[in-house]
Amino acid sequence: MNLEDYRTVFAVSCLILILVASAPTLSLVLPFSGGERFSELWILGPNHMAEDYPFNVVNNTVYNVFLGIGNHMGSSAYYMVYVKFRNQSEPLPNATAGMSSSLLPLYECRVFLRDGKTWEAPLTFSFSGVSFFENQSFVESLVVNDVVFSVGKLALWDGGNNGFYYQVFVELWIYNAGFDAFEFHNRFVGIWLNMTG
Amino acid sequence: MVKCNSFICFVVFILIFSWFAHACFAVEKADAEEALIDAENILSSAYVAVLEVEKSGGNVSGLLVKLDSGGHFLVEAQMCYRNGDFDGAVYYADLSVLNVTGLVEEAGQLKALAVSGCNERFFQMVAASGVAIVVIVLGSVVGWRIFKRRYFEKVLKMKPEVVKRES
Repeated sequence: MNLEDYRTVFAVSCLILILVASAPTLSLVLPFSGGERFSELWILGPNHMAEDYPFNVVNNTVYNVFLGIGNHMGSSAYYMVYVKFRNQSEPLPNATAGMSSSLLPLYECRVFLRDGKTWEAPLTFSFSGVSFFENQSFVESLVVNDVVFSVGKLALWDGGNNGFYYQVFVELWIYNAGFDAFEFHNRFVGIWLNMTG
Repeated sequence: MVKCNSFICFVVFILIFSWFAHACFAVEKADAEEALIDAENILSSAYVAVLEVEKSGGNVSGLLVKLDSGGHFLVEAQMCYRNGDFDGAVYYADLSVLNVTGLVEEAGQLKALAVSGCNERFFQMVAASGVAIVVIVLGSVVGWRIFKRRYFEKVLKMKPEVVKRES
């Protein structure tokens, strides 16, 4: 190596050291994206596992699941979870269009969550006033976390899957400070239930 | 006879009072709706204030706990409203508001503290980086000069050697 080569090595080393020394200050000034921003929504079974979900349900029996949210939005978020109940013919949210289900919410939860944190809470539900008539089943009331909701929901016999199917599903909404309103966060999850006698 | 008439009047008064008392004191649906909207707006404003504190680098853990309890009572109020319990809806909506009362002011104070702390940290960081850069530059210049001198000394000490050509 001649003197010119040594000078280049010295200059590059000096530049690297200067960049390292100024990195803390640059991090305060330059905005970093911080990765993808998203939220999680989940339902776990009664043992906090993704198994043993209630499926064959009967009148006046309490079922337990766990509802969870994870915040990876880069800042604290204000979430609202709507619990809805449908039969097979009623609409689910449209994930492609980012539209929520047109069904009215029954139960709701409001959660303020810091970035990187998760929230989980028990969700108990039971049915009352269940009746069957020929190829129809009727649910008069749904009880969610001890709050009674009159649903009056009818389901027709599903010959292909041998059952009267209903679905309890939850939608995740997030508060948009820019619009000063909640908006559907395009996350929903549900469990199918077969009403039995 | 007078006593009997008085008693009848008293009973009639009680019956009429109980008949109209509901209309006089019961909370109507519109009142409940108004209470819910108010509570909703206050909670949202408090959340926005907390978000600003967080953006300024402040610790929002305590504020989020208060927001959570406010949100919990607002949910209770919504449940009551959906089940036609307008008294309950107003009661819980008021509780929700009570939980976040003063939170915006508290958030403002925390934000001011966070901003001044952040500015202080920023200037400390800039000063530390500046000192480090000056030290690196000076060190490099001095180091280069020493290196260059030793390099020349080494070169000057070198003696030419006569090498026998092999052919």
